[in-house]
Amino acid sequence: MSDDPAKQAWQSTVAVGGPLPLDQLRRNADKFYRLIRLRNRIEFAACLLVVVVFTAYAFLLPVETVRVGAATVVGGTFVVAWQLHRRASALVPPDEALAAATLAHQRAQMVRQRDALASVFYWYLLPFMPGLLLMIFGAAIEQGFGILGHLRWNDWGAVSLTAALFVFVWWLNRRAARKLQKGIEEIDALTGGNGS
Amino acid sequence: MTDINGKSRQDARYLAAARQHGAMIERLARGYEADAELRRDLVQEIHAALWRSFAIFEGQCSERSWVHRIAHNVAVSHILTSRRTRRTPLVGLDQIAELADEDDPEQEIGERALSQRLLATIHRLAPADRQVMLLYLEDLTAAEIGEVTGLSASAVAVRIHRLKALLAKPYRSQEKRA
Repeated sequence: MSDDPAKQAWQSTVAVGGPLPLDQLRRNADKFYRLIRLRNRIEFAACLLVVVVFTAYAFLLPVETVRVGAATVVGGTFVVAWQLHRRASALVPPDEALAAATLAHQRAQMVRQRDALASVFYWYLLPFMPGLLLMIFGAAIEQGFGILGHLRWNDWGAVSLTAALFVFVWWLNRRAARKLQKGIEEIDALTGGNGS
Repeated sequence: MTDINGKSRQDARYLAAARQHGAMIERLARGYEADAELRRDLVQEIHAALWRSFAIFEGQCSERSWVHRIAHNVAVSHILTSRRTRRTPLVGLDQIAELADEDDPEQEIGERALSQRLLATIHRLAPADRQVMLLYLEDLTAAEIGEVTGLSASAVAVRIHRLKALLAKPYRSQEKRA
């Protein structure tokens, strides 16, 4: 042990530690993959719910354009589900990545997260928009936009709330992406740009 | 047969490394995770990654650097994916003037007190500086710290210089009081 008192103090905090049972390690080896799979299943269940409800709308609602809108939402849900599957798979780092220099590994993780967050508008929000817009304004498209003047305040409230929710989700993700970008730039400054 | 041999070699390498570096892994987990239950999970994750990693370890670097890399990378992923919000922002070594919790002038500079303050300071540090401090406290050389982190030799030297000044401070204060 070193004669530096700080090193001695630190190393004396935990002096023992050993291997975990190999059977346990083999059982837990794919724990991370199982967690990702569980998360995917929850997201796919949510997508399935949206598909079932909006498929019912596509058959039951009275206005044809609104029905087309509901069917378009169903299509958008499939796009989002496919994107979730594609991006969640990319979240699982290969074992080789864990052996990289720590800052390079950290940078790669941050780049992956930043890219997913920065593009959230295109793969998470945009696929729902055409269908939702058709559903909201379907009646106006069929009966003339003059009908918009007859919408009640709670109809406009629902439209505003949906729009605000989309903007909020987009803003939140962009902010998180900017924060990650700052972290990436800090790593680049530390490694002289060799962190990639 | 080759696969069985490969597996048993992987197992043997893991067991030897875990025996040698097990205590370091426990300390490293303390440096990254304050919550005891989550820390247990983190230690298990590190061991699982270490065991897997010995299937691809071909002497790319020293075994000691390899174990540190794997352990820190798992811990950093743990921090990055943690959704808990932090009350105070993480800072760099250049923003810390003294070891944390040095507000009691009568506090004894014992090993236990010092280790508590080291831990509190480590928890305040941003990942890159946290890695350097943990590796320094584990007695890795500047070259090994550079090999594990990917930091340039000059960046490691600057941080070690700051660390040494920071770690010497309690003793200078004690000498002044005496």
